[in-house]
Order: sequence, then structure tokens, then C-alpha cells
Amino acid sequence: MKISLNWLSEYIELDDYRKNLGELSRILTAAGLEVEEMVSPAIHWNHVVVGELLEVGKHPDADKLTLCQVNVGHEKPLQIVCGAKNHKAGDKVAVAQVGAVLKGDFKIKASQIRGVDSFGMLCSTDELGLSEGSEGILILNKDLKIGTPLSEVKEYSDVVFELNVTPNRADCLSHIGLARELSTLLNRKVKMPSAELKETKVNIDDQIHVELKDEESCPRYCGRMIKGVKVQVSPDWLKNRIESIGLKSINNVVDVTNYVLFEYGQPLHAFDLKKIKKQTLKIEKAKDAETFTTLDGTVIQLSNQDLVICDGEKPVALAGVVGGLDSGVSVETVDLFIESAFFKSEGVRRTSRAHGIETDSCYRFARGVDPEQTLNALNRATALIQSCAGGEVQKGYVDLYPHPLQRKNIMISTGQVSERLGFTVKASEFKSWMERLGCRVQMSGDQFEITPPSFRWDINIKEDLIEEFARLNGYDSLSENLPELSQEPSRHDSMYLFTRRVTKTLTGLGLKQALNYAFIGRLDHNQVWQNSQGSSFFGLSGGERAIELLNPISDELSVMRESLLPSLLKNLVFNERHGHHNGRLFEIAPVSLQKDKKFLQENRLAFVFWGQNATLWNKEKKNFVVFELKSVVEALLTSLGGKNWRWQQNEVVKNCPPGFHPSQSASLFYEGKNIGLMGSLHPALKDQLKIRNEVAWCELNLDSLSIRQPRSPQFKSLAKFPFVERDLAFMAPQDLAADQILTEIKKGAGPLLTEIKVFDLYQDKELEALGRKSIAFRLRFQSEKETLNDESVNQLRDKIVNSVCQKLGLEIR
Amino acid sequence: MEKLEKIKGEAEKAILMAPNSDDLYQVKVQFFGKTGSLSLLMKELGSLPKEERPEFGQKLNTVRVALDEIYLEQERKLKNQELNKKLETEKLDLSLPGPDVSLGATHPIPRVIDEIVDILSRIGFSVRSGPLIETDHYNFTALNIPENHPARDMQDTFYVEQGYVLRTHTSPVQIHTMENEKPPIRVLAPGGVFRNDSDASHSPNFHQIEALLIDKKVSMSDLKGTISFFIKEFFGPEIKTRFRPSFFPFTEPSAEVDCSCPLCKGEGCKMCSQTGWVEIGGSGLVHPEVLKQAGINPEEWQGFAFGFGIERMAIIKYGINDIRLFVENDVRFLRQFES
Repeated sequence: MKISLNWLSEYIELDDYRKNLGELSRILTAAGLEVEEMVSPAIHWNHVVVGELLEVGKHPDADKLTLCQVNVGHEKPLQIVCGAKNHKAGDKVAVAQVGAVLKGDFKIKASQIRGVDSFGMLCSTDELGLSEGSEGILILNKDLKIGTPLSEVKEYSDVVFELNVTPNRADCLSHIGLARELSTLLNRKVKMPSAELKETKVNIDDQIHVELKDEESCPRYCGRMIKGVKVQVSPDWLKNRIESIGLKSINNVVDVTNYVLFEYGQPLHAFDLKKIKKQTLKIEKAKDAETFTTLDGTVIQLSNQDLVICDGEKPVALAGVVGGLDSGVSVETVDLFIESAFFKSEGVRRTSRAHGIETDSCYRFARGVDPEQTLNALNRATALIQSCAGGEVQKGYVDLYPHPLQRKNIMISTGQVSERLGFTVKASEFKSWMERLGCRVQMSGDQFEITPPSFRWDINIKEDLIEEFARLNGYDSLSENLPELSQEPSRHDSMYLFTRRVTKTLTGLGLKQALNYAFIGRLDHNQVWQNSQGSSFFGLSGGERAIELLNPISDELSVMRESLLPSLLKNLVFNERHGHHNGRLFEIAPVSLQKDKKFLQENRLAFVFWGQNATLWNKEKKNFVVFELKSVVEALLTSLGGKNWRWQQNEVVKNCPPGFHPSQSASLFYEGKNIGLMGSLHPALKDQLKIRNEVAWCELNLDSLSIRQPRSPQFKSLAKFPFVERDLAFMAPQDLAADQILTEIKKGAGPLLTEIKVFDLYQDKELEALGRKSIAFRLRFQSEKETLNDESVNQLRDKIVNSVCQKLGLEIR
Repeated sequence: MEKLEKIKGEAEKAILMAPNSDDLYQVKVQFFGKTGSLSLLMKELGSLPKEERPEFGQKLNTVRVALDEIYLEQERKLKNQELNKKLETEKLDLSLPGPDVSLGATHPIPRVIDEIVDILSRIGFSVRSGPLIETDHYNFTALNIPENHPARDMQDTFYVEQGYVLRTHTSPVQIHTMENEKPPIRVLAPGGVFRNDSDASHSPNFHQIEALLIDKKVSMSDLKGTISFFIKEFFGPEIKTRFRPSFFPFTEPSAEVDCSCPLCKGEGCKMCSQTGWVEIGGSGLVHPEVLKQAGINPEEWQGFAFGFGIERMAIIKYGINDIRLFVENDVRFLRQFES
């Protein structure tokens, strides 16, 4: 909220801080009231002084300009050409002399205007930064001394603080409230404003009947009546105050209620008395489905939870939140009823939320106002209205406060304070701060019974008092101590450790880690997976339907992601558009799923590889990216001590999600369980997104992958006997998977075969025409018991060849 | 004898004349081999009269040793020459680039998280995790933020159906931990959090790390000491910690945590808005109401908690100037975290 230093200074002496505003700001911030910004128009007032107009004559060559002689305290007056009309000889004005640089880098230089020398400028409030737009120049107070720098004239050089008031400190949401806080911090007195009013002889009680029917929601209700006011423009002092804190001046009555709101922190409401039916006001809960039209014309439907002020017929105000259109103050208003009440915060907040109405009034009620100032604020407002708008104050006031609010006492000892703060606190020191805070203190040794002040709703338990003491005593005086370890540290979350291990392996393989929002657009998901409708895809769980945000930022960020791939696809497109034609990204994150009305999370690992890696030896070969990805996944599985896995291609062909190339995708089975899907990006999606490079991607279920982790390596004795290698090349049908041949070879070979690799795949036009390919394997044989001889290995080779050729119908080359 | 002298002369000449190590080897065969002239002379030794044998034998041996020396010297010389020639022909232009070796990179967010975990693990804190979608109870009520409390306005919440919310902070993990484990407790909860707020300096999905300690006696100075240790380890030994009073519903007393600006060392710069201090998180002693809600007796146990924004830490530590970079995954950005 905005605080005006001039306004604040009405209640507490702060002149000594005017030249050291930084210190004032530091004191407030150190007390928990963060000063976010300090704005002073006077910083642009170098060379701006008070001057007196000695002569105001006509410019010889221009009808619209005046030629002025201005006394600024020098021997000779300054000659200044001025375009305004509202000045006359004898006026005191703000003179920007040559050398001044006003706001917006407006430099004042000696110049000639229509052939006449001019040595400065007479300033308007706009040019001084005091208002937005203004007519004519600023005419200053007559009593000011000629030549005084304008920045030293208090009434014009205000400073406005932007104060960040935390929700617990409702007591600081006003100028008096802040003055009171400063009085505690600086040990100075607060001067409360006066409220002098002249009452008529007619008693208010004879003119209106106010009935408090819901004391629970409204413990105190006060009111006064003023008749015969003249609603008009506010006097300058009031207008300036209101505008200084960024509000708009409306009229004298509304401005006074706003003024007192920001002075006392007490929201007020002014009713047009003539619009109150049957001279009755009742504070009660609304009827269900009753309608109400607010000040700005919005029609809302009330519920029996909403507290309202009703006249003899219908609600005229939503208690503490907003007034009604029909009963508000207008230019025709002559008789007023001013309300000042204490509405309980919970109710005001509920009503404000239910109807989506936020006002300065409900902001304060929701945080808690001071029930002991209700009447004082009312009297202050009444007196101000009388002085600004005239009228007769009717005798007496309404004050319905059947059960004055009592604060509970808090028991605390300085031992407790010391223990929680970590240093020894003296009873006398504690007592002194508590008293300065406005608490009632009863002390017996180091035991205290403390009653918090009526304006501090946030102080209820001893911890609150400990904080108050620590805050006032200064957080800088807290010492630093490392707490002793009282037991063995516990284990880290296993998924955290596993994720870290996977990340280390993958970054070690040269991959970059990506990170994306947990929500995406529905279409982003569907273009990769379609609507999954609760089914699992290759070991990746699917939700029954996407989890929607009820208040998303945009359509693109509206559902929780069920897969990481849509986000990675966006990353790929973003990078390609920025000219990065190859990339190797992975992401590890949970996805959110909905099943049986429950929300579940599944941890996932996903990859996207695009473009040829520059080091790849085979630059022409297409589709190699998917093989590179396969190698990375297998390297990861190996690093995790994975025992066995296989890639299954056939099933995917039948049931391929739209993001994957049906002939270039395979699902992964890891230790008997399907854990995810890998493949090339579907060419249609690739074209649609104008992706230029080959793309392979993969998503794995990290929870399934993390079974029986961590596994530590199990040492096996190194082979004592040499190995023997044999190469086999088969002529095979083109669509026969290498894996099938491998499986057959392994079956035929038995335990002596320790390693097998595909080392050549050959196909020329001739072979292609025959629908065949040549595929070659390198087999390594080794025994743990003996050195194998050529003859026995050759026998084994022949056995393998026979069985493979027979079972698969292949020829050996 | 004469024959010996002659052979010696021939052999010497042949050794010194050999143009390369292969020819030199042929010379060796010619004179020292099984059928070489010196070997033949050796065989002749037997046919000499007995009294001449010792003298001739001695001589023969002297010649042999002398020739051997010459040979070895020549061999060394030739091999050296040949090696030098070979080295010359094998010259590589090492100004040419080698094949690309791709370095991997951990994203700065998990990188910062891991670094924080490593530091706080040393003083006994262990990682815990919790769900992104939380009930209103865990995200608010159990943290002393009842319904219709103004503190709810501090956080713009994303709502999902059935009264669930996307967690607005990592603090719900505090409650899960206190419900599931017995004190004393020292845990850390890193992870994603959500606020319905998106502009140049606010991300709707950012990351926090939360620390919770529950023990018999816990003071503000324990809290400040722990944070100060962490800050010195994370930003550098000269970086100072400052507490400012603040308000969080789940702690009392509460403190905003500032540290002296690691960029300018407190001199004042753009990062710290010329103040010399940067705000990095919130902290405080656990509110007794929070302990009660989680089933821990506040008369017996006390605690502290603190939380930092990970993006904020990364921005300060690495000097990152735009929060959007964290989720764009621009390769040029990620590459900067290869080191």
C-alpha cells in the first residue's frame, strides 16, 4: 500500500528522517514492513526555487505569451516568458532556473522565445511531477520565502512509500497504523487527530432504527447522521491527500470516507438517508437467492451466508464489502447516514470470495480492523464531512456493541523466549518492548501475562510474542549455531537417488537434459498418443482422461501431461527453428494420471534425438538416429546392471500411436516387463511440424526401470583360456529380423558361445530384386575349462549353420 | 692370419658402407652367420697346429669383438636415420579438428538441487518427495492456512477437479513426512511447484527446495546457523546471511532470508538492485499449529523449516537473465552447463 510521508507526519514527528529516507526505509524493512519503493518528485527539483512575480506583462510579439519579471532572491529579477494565464503580479511561483533538469530529462536553458530572452520556466504541477496533466502554473503558498529550494518546502515535496504489508499486519494498512508502528520502533509519541463537531438538538435515535440481528458476524455497529450536506468537489487539501496515495478524488463525502479509511484503517460507508426505506437498518444474513445491485451496477445473487445491511425493504449494502447502487451517495444527496462497523473477517472474506468482489474495505475487514477505533473513526469522518460539505450533525450516535471484544491473555516466560531465540533474554528488556508494542503486561519474576493490543489480531500465542520481541530487538542480533545431530541420518528417497544415477549415465553419454512444464495443451498430447482412454501403452500407464486445470493460463498449458514426449517435441521444433540441426535431449519427470477418481504419478524417462551426430561415420545411411538411440538406451540398461531385455517390433506395428513410425518402432521388454516404446517420429507428424532432420524418440517407465535398484556389480572370474572367433554370413529373406537369426544361433551354440555381433549387412540391387539380404555375424567361443581347439570349434560352427539354415530356411554364404 | 686381416678389412668396409639397416643385416649374415666368413675361419681353427691355436684364437676373438662394436654402432646410426625419416613422413596437421566428442549436460535446475542436497546431506538432511497434485488439506489447511484466510491470496493457486490443487509450494512434503516418520526429523523436499502467474519474472511451474528439522529443542539461531552454513557452501565462504522479519502462516517466528550479493560481493549491482543483498527464500520455526495438525506434540517437539526457489538460486549463481530459458531447452543454453 502507498503511504505519504507528509500525511504520516501529521501523526508522528519524522522531520529528522526527511534528509535520510534510506534509514527510515531500512528501519521499516528490518521490522518486517518491506519498503518496495520510495517515490519523491523532488529528486528532479534541482535549481527549482520559490519566486515572486514582480511584473506580468504582455509579450511584444505574441498574444498568448506573458513576459514576467521574477524575483528569485538574486540582485536582479529573472526575465521569463510564460504561456500560462492563471498568474498575476504578486503570486509566488515555482521557478525552474537555467540548469534545472525536470522529470523526463527536460533541461531548462537560457533561450529566446519569439525574439525575447527567457531565463527559466514557471512550472505547472505536471512539470514538477506532482500530477498527471494540469492547467496553468502552480501558484504557491504566499508565505513561502523567496529563493527557498522547492524541495525544502514540505507541503510540496512529499515522498510516497510503497509498503509491502504482509497479511498478518492489517494494523499497518493505514497512516495512523504505520505511525503507531513507528512510535514503537522509534520510541516516539503518536498524535491522534481531533474530531470537533457541532450537533443539533434532534436525537438520531428518533430518526432511525438500527437493529443488530447478527452479533456473531458483526460485534460492533456504529452510525451517525448528517443532514443538509452539499456534495461537491473536495477542497484542495483533501484532494491532494487522496491523490497522493494514488486514489481518484470523487467528491467531498466519498473522499472523506476514503480519507478516514486510509487514516484509521477503518472502512466506512455513507448511505443516502433519503433512500433508506422506513427509517430502518438491520444487520442480518441475506435471504437465499435474494438479488442485490452493487455500486457499479453489477447484479449478484446472495445466499444466507452473506451478511447484509437491510433497510425496511431490501439489502442496501453487502456488509463490509460493497454498498448498493440505490442507496449510495450521489450529487443529489443531502442527508447522510455514516456507518462504521466491525465485521468479522471470516464472513467478509467468504462473501468477497463468493461474489468475486475485492474492495479496500473488504481487504481490511478480512485482515482485521481495530474494534476500539470504530467510534473514533466515525466521529473523525463526521467532523470532516461537516467541515468539507457542511450540514447538521444529528445529536448522538448509534453504537451497538453488546459484548465488547476481549483479547485472551498469553502466558510466557523469558526462559521460553531465550530458548526459541537461542540467546538469553532479559526480563526487563522483554517487558519494555512488549509495553512499547501496546500490550498490557503483568510481570512476576520471569513469568509474564500479556494482553495484546486490540489492533493486533495476529498476536495470539506465545510464539507470536517471541517473534515480536525478536523483530523489535533486531533479527541481526540472532547468533548462528549448527544444531547437533541427535540421531543417524535417514536414507534419501530411492527415486531421487535413482534419477540422479540415470542422469549421470546419460549426461556421460553426451546427452543434454531438458526440463519442461508439467502441463501442456490437450492437442499436443493427442497428436502423439491419441486419446489414451485409460489403457496402457507398452508399459506406460494411461489415465482415464486428462487432468484438466480449472483455471489454466492458456489452452497450451491446460492439462497435466501424461507423457513427456509432447514437451520434447516442442523443444525439438524450437531448436530446429533456431538452426540447431542435431540434438540429443532427455527428460526425467513425473507424469500425472487419473484412474478410478484418483490422481496418480508415474516417473518417466524420455528421449528425443534429431539430426546426424557429426561424429557418425556413416553419414549417408538413413534411419541411423534410431539405432543411436537404441544404443544409448541399452548402454543405460547395462549401466543399471540390467540382466536381459528385448525389443519387440511386431506388436507395435498393429497398435502404433500416431507419433511413431509404425515400421520403425519397437517396444522394450526389460526383465520380462514391457517398459516403454522407442521409434522414429511418424513422417506425417514430421511434415506437419516442418521438421527437417531425422528424429528418433523414446519414452520409458522409470518406475518399472527402477526395480531392484541399486544393484552393485557382481564380480566373475576372468577367463583363463583364449577365445576363438568364427564369422558366419547368411543369405536371408529381406524382412527376416536379425534378432530371429541371432536367437537361433544362440540356441544351436550352447554355453561355449560367449559373444555374438552383427558385423555386416549387405544388399545390392540384385539381391534386392530377389528379396534377399546378406547378414554376417561374428561369434566368439570360449570355455572356462580348456583351450578350445580348431577342430571342435569348426564342428560346433557346422552344427550351428545346419540348425539355423534348417529352421529358418537360410543359405550360408 | 692374413686371411683374418683381409676379412676384417672387408667386413669393416662392408659394415660402414651398408646404406640401410636391411643391407647391414645382410652384411651380418655374410660375415657372422652360420656360413659367414668369420664363422668359417672359426671352423678352421681346429685344423691349425696346437701351439698356434691360442694366438689365432685370441686374435680371431679380438677381431670379432671389434667388428661387433663397429656393427652395433653402425646399426644404431642407420636405425636412427631411418626412424627420423619415417617420423617425417608421418607428419599430421594437428591444426585440423578431431572428431566431435559430445559432452552431456545436466539441466541447471536439477544441478542446483543436487548441489543443495549434497551440502545439506553433510549435516544429516535426507531427500523426501511428494505428489504434484495435492489436496487442499496438505497444501493449505495443515499448514495453518485455513479456508477464507487472507494468506491464501499470497499464492495464486491452480485448481483441478474434486477440490485438488497443484501444490503451490513444497511445504506439503513437511506434513507427509511428519505423518509418516517419527521425530527427530531432518528432511529436504526438492521439486516442482505451481502458481497461476506468468510474466517476465514469474513462471507458472517453478522449483523449490524445502528443509524441515524437528527435534527436542530448536531455536532461531539453529535455523540461522544452518542456513548460513548452506549459503557459504553454495555461494562462497565470504557470503553473509541476513534475516528479515516476515510472515508465513506455517512458521512463527518467520524470517525472509537474504544473502550478500554473490555477484558484486555486496558492493551493489543490477542483480541486487544496488542494495548489496539478494532475497533467496523464507524460513522460520515451525508453527505449533502445523505440528499439531501432523500429529506431533508441540510441547515436546520443536522445529524449523526453510525453503528456497531453485530458479532464483540458479539465476544468482549462474547469472541467468531470463526465466523462460529454463523451459525452452535451447541447445545453446543447455550447452553452457556442460562443465
